Amino acid sequence: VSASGLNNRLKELRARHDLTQAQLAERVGVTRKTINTVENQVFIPSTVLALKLAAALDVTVEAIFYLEAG
Amino acid sequence: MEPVMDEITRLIRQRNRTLALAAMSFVIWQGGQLADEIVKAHAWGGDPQDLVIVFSILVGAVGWAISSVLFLLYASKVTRTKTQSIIQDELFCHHQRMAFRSGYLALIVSISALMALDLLVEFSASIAIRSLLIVGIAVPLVTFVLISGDAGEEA
Repeated sequence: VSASGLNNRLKELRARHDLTQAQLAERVGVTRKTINTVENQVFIPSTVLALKLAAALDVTVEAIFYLEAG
Repeated sequence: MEPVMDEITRLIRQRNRTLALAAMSFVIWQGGQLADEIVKAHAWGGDPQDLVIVFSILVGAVGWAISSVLFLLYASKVTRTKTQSIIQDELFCHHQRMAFRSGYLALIVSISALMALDLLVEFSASIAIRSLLIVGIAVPLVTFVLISGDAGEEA
């Protein structure tokens, strides 16, 4: 969990769509490292990128990102 | 990996290697100039010292020139809109902001150190300015290369 309490299920959802980090990165127009750092909660993406990720994975933003309780 | 991402990864590696070379060359080049000023100011000059200083100035200046050419070559490859927007994505902008911030903090620390040093030893404004120039250029470059260098493992 990042310091902000934001967590995500990006890795899980990406695997469900059988996508590599590189494939997802190309779909949303960022580098593979950006996807890697978001998955590992090192980097918190902007709203725009979060929306692009949600569209690429065909889910809502809330299905990817959530605040850790407590 | 996708062909576009292969190209992006290659370009990022090329950019980081060029920036590392630029930072190292700049430190050697301007460090040599700084050493030259210090040696002359204290009349410590002698053949071995002068040779080392001239050699480092030459090596650093050539390295800086090479890194400038390499950077132009890199920039010419990043002209395609899609490649450019992927390479300069929001993580890149985040790393760039962190690099600039590290340079700013390093300059504040360096100015404080120079002010403290000024109480103990006399040195010219030129020495102080060159020292700050080295810190102001090298610290952001090195910070950027360090934080953006690791490509991370595909999980």
